[in-house]
Amino acid sequence: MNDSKQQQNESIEHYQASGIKRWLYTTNHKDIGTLYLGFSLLMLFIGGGMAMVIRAELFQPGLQLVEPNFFNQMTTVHGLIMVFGAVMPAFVGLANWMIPLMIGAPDMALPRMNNWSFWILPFAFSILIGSLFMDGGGPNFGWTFYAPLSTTYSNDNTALFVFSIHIMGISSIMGAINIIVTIFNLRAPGMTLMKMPLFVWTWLITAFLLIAVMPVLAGTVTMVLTDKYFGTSFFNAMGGGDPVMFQHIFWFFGHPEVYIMILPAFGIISTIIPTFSRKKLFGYHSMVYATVSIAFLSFIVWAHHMFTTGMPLAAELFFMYSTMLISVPTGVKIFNWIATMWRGSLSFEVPMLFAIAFIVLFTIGGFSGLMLAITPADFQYHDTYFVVAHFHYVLVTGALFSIIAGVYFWLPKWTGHMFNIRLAKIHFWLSLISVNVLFFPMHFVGLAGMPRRIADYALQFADFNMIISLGGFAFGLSQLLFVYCVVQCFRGGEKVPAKVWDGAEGLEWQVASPAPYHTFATPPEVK
Amino acid sequence: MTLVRAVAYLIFFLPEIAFANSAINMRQGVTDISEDVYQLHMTIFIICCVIALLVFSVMFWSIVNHRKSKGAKAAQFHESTKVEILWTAIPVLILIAMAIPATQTLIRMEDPSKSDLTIKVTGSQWKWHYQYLTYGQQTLDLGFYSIISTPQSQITNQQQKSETYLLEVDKPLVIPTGKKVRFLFTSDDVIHAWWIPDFAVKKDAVPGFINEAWTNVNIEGIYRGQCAELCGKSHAFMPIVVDVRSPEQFEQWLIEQQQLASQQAQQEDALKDVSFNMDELMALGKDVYEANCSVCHQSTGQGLPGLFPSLKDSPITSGDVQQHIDIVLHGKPGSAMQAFSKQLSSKQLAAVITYERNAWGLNSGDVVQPRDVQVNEPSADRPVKASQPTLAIEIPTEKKSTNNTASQDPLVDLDKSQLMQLGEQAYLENCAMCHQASGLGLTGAFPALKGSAMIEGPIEQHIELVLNGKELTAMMAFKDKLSAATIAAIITYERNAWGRSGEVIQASDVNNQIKGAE
Amino acid sequence: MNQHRPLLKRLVISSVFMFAFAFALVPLYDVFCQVTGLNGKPSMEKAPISDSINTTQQVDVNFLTHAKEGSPFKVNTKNQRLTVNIGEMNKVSFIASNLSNQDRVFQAIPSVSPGVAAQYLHKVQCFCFEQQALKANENIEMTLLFYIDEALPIEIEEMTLSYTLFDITDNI
Repeated sequence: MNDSKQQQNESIEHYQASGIKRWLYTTNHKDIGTLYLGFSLLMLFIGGGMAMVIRAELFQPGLQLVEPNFFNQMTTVHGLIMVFGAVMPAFVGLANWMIPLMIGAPDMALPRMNNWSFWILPFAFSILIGSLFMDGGGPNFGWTFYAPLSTTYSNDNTALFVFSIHIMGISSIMGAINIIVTIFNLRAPGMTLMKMPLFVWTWLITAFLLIAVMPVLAGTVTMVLTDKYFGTSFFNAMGGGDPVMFQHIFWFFGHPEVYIMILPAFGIISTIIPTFSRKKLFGYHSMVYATVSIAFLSFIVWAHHMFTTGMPLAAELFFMYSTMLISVPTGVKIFNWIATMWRGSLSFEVPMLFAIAFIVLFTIGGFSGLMLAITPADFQYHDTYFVVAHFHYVLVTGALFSIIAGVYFWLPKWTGHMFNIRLAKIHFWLSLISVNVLFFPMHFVGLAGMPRRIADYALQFADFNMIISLGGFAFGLSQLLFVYCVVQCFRGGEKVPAKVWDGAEGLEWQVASPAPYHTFATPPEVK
Repeated sequence: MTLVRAVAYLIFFLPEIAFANSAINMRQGVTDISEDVYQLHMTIFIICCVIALLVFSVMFWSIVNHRKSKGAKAAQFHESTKVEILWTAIPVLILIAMAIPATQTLIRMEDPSKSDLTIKVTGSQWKWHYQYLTYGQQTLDLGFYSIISTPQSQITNQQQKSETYLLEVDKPLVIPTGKKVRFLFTSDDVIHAWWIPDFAVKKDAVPGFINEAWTNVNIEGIYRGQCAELCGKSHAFMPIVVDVRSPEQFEQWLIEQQQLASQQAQQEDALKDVSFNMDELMALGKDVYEANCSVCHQSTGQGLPGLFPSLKDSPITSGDVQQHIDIVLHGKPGSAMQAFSKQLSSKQLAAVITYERNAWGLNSGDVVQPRDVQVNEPSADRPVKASQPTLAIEIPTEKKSTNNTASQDPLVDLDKSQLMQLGEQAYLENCAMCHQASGLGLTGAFPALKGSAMIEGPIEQHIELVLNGKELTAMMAFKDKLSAATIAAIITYERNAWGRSGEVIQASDVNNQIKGAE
Repeated sequence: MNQHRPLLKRLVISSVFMFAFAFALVPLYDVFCQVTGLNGKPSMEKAPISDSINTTQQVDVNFLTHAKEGSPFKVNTKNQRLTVNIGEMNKVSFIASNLSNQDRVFQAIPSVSPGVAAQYLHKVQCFCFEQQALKANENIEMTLLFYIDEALPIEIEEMTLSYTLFDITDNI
């Protein structure tokens, strides 16, 4: 305790700038982590607002509020913002805050680069969101921007979309490099790789995935740019190109990207479950191996997104089998979590509630994923609301729930205060119920034949769409409660000890709460 | 509380099992393949449910019984190689069990054997085009667009929505039952996807490439689907309707369609010499505009800034007529502006162009007639390059001689059999399109000549009509198109064919009448 | 900082490498297509002449031409469908017409369905190998000389060779 007091004093001396400059110039991993998290929360609400527009339009059949072209811009930008603006920065924020604390490092290895990688993000998203207000509007070709809809047939603002993706990509790559260097070079003495917390492990693998695929995305958008503006024919059959090749290259990035958004979630859940089970994580080694094999498999399954483009039988079979195979390591993870809970000493604090909801709901998303892998059935599921239901179960009740769980888990460590538990529990139950009202009926309308990305639908889908929209509004509103809980916790509340949760293990619980500005200036010894 | 949650999940899953045939589950469909796919879907779904039930039971058991609040003490175990191998191996076995039926179904789906009917399906923003290629050994020449028929007023909620809202088209695809139908997919612009849930067929239409899928439908009926790949603004508004009929009815339909096509061609041809007045064109033009153009260019003609250009203040609508016609007929490559030459009749095209030049206060006064539009339409009747002698297409000499005036003709009298021979050929070339070779015309469209007052009546009227046509009808003036000798031959033929025996007309008679008129 | 430099360098090089790899995927994709028959892209290279005929196996080859609506070109063939022996050289004539009043150039892009059949269709001579320039209102006859490889899987009884015509006048 004394030690950390000293550190705190030290940090205040250390620290010159104040006000906005503090945040602009900061190279401190905790500040940058906070910036990332705050930014992603803002993006969550902007992207969420777009989802509300989508759901309001789809509340009833017919065109009510927005015209179809704007609707398409909403679905596109909603997707882009949620993927690149909400989920990914949130995980990077958590990584910034927690990885140095977890491995006993004084800061991230490349603090200046850390600053840049955050501060270019607001520019990227200003460009993207700004394009919505320009003549012609923003991108309207879906977040997957399939050529030639995004090349020959897109509006002139496509260049803005391309540049914003470039910037997001550069930001992600810098973030990933930083995390890898930190993990490899700054571990405290005794912190061997196989002793690292799983959150660090999953992030390490995620960072490698990012370095492998974000440049491919950058290449893809560059090709879109040159096809549209400089007369190349990568994706244009006229010049010997191939629109289907776009999809191959895109999904070569896109599928690992899916795991980029879920592996850190596995890490968070693997941290929370043992804490509130008061029992060591079951099968630590197999967890690590499962993560590595998921990352590996993610590179050889991409074409399962494009079975309907027409493929030889052999290719269809290969991608079906390899995709099905992914459920094995994923299953191992689920089994390990349940085995961790088995014969534990369970308590149900808010992070644990979200973690349990994650296990159940992510598994539902996993099952629908397995169904989607079955090629013949995929012809019926593809591009319907069944797919929408699937990836929202994986990304909202998966990635987003894990982020919320992580925030509730570490928030007392960041602020030094306990959040309002009653409100947080209300937030949990409201979210849990509304998210299922929102996404579960999407399975039904999808199976019944409702295509995705349509601004208007046939009458037989009307009832379920109304329910879905109501669930959507409820889920959206519930998240205001989350913001309230977080803000309230920053402002004050019951003081918490260094080890906030009695079952918690790891170096981060050895530093004071709130965590001092500089921690582990002297590396701790790990036994 | 937790038990309640477990039950709640079961309730969520139950409707899927209980109401397998209602609108919350995949459709069983009407083909063997769709039935297979449905069974596969249900099998995998139930396996998933069983696994979920087992796994979550364990978890909820633990949640209920291993609570700290109940005084549970945490056990110390944290690994077991045996268990871990087990729960890696068992899922692999389950997956193999799933993969076997999936592989079998997939192999049945990818069957490259011969098909009975081949149809080319072309997607474009935002409609489908169907081209019938072959049926058995027969080569077909039948193609048409299939466009959403839901009125704009239903979409904008000004009118009660019909039961098939957004799932209805002006002309459905018709296919027979019990035949293997091969679809070849391609696209004119962006990627579309053709999907009929009841056939379990969904395939992308990729510009520059062809894709194929096939179906063999067991049950007659009307089946509906939609475009499944985001293709731009009106992605939600390009439905697919397939009308499946018995092979006999299908063949009947094919014959009807071919007749209809030839009639339409004739009507188009007939319009060449009809002039419509401004009001008529403006009224029709407004309807055509609302149905085809207003979705992008808006009813106000002002377009959507940055997306769809305004017509109201555009050089196209106020400038050169020819350019305007050209862009409407052929579209603008690389933009959403489609080519309308094959979608609209020449009358509709003329009307809509006239409308665009005179609406919204433009009042240019330009009147575009169907013939103006037809001139621009491509005609393939031109000779193949001389160096390649294999396939010269012959051009009827008479058509070329438009500048010949009757007075320059050598006025040689011919005998009746010569005139009849010449007349028959000229009739088939110039008149039979409308009046038919049988002289019976087409009911409702073109009058019969056989037994008509004109043929029975005075020769002068007959000559007069052929020379100068009949205003406001499809009957054109042949005075400048055909020589006096040919006109004489035709009239002779008309008065002596189809079981009648009548007068013989000579070129001089025709010439006299022309001179008399002058 | 210095301790990080080697690793940093390697990671930066890796990301640059992956960026380049995205572009390398373009030729790789073509190779991949040719090997697996993905997407029905037939070779655009002149094939050697066939030297054997197998009269016991036949396949129906359908010919299809597709011009975008409003295109100034039209290509027709009298032989919409041919039943050919495996290995047999076949000649198909296509008539291309320029329907416009300007000189125009088009490029025909072939596509074969089912995709796997693409690698067994060998074109000895094809108008798709070159750009075709047509004078205003001109009609020309073009030739396709092809044969089907003996390795064609027996279950393929029917295949389609489709040409999509692109007006490339403005792109030259």
